[in-house]
Amino acid sequence: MNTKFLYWIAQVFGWTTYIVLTIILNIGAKELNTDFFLTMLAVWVMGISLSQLLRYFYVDQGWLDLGIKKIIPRVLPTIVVFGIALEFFYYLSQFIITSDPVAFGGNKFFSETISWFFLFLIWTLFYFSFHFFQNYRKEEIKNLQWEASKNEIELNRLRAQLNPHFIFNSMNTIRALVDDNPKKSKENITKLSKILRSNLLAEKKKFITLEEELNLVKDYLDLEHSRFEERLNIIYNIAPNTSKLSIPPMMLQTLVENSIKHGISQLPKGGTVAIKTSCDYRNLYIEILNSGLYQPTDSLQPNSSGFGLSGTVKRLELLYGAKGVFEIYNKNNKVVSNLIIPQNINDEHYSDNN
Amino acid sequence: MMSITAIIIDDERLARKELTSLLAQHRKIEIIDEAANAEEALIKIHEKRPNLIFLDIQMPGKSGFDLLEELDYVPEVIFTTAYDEYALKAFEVNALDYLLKPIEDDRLRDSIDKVCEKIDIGEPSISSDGILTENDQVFVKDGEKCWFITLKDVRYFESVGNYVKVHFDSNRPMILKSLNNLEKKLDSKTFFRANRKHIINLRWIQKSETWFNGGLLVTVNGEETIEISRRQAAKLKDMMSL
Repeated sequence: MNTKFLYWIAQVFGWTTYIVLTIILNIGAKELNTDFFLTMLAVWVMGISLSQLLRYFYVDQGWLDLGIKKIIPRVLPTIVVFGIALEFFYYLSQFIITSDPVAFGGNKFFSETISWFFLFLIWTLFYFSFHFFQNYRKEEIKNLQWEASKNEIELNRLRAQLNPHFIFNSMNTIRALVDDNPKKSKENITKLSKILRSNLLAEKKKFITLEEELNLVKDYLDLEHSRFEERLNIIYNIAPNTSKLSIPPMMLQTLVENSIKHGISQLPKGGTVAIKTSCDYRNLYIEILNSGLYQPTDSLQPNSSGFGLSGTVKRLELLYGAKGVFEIYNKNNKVVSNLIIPQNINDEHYSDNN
Repeated sequence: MMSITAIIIDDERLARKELTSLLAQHRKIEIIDEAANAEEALIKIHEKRPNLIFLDIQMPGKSGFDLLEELDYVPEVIFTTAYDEYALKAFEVNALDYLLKPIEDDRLRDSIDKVCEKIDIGEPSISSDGILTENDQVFVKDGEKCWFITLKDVRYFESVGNYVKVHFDSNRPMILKSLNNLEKKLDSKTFFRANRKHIINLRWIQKSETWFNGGLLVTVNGEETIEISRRQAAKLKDMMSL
């Protein structure tokens, strides 16, 4: 709709400019009488009509979608034909308007046809470049949309799935607890349900509060504690002012799961997982400490932390660009995982927290 | 019928407890011990020589597969795992028996029946001196694949660098062992040191012909030929000639 309007403005404006320029250039050279103006008007009408026909032809033949090498040998002969056609109509209009039998053909025919040819050539150049520009923008928008949906899919994919090994082991623990400690087995069923539910819902939300995420992590670690018993020690050190800060769902959970899977569960005597949070006016900082040893080469094996960790890095990058940070390293026989999650904390919020 | 002795190996106390309570209905199975990791299991299996072990794959330190590779005496094995894609793949490729946790009663019964059958058929082969006879099985793992091989199915062992290639069926997995160590463990009535690089299973020899320097060339399984050195050839003739 919009482009059509733009096209017509360009069409009318272009031909009018041409006519006005011709008249100005002819001042002094020709007698500016009614016949001359009428002829010019006729050229204006014929120009618009023929170029309209030309456009119809281009669209109809599908030449707009061809490559430049294929366009040239098709368009040039067409323009020659249209040039000759215009010359013929021009001659006809002059004949009618001046009722003066001018000789058709000869040098005049030749030079005039060439000028019409160039006129259509310029018109075509404008038309094609306008079309290409338009197309390019459409492509660009399509690309951007595609990129956005790709990112969305990628983000969903990266939201780590719960480790099936954990689910089935927990079920097995619960089964053992049914006879032994019915109360605890009931609690564990509730906790496992909550974890499964939040895992299902995680795909619907881009961000949740740290408090929500920590509830999930606590349920998870409680269940793991039922499995590993005295082999798993848990320490929380949560700054109260961080509870309402935002975090991508399952991000902390994934890292805690990794610390169990590759840390605690590999140690015959078990170990400790410690979670610590803090914040300043810009970022939320989370530190996870666990017993064990981080081996970067692990990421080459399909069965290892590689996915969880590289997934975390990618998610942060997609959501926060360079501002989101994840790092993991060994320190004093422990594995340290650090997360920096940028917050859009406004001033009011900030003063509330302090 | 004698009861089947078993050891449960799992790092989680509650998982061991759960399996114990499931096994309570199976009179044939007598649980003689438990182990919480591979190290513990290694010692207990050596000491108590159970007929059967229930083995968890994912354990801290060494995995269930690692444990099996270290065992000289390999009892019947029923694997237990919660979910381990890597292990499941290995199981399915080689049709090993495994149970998924939480364990289903019916599946457990099937597995136990199968084991009982196997133990009934198999000759009581456990010799106290730790020598492996042709009816014993060994566990072999090569990359993603693993096998329980009954020794009588092995045609010959071939030394390749630090490894030994085990030739059986159409497979040739490699194990990290020396041929000399292997020779000491194998029953010399069946397994014969042919030369520096080969130990052959005498039952697989189809024909033998004299070779250079008083040696022998034996044909195993149609196409495979192995040279027997002169010294060993004399020994072999001695053995065979009553």
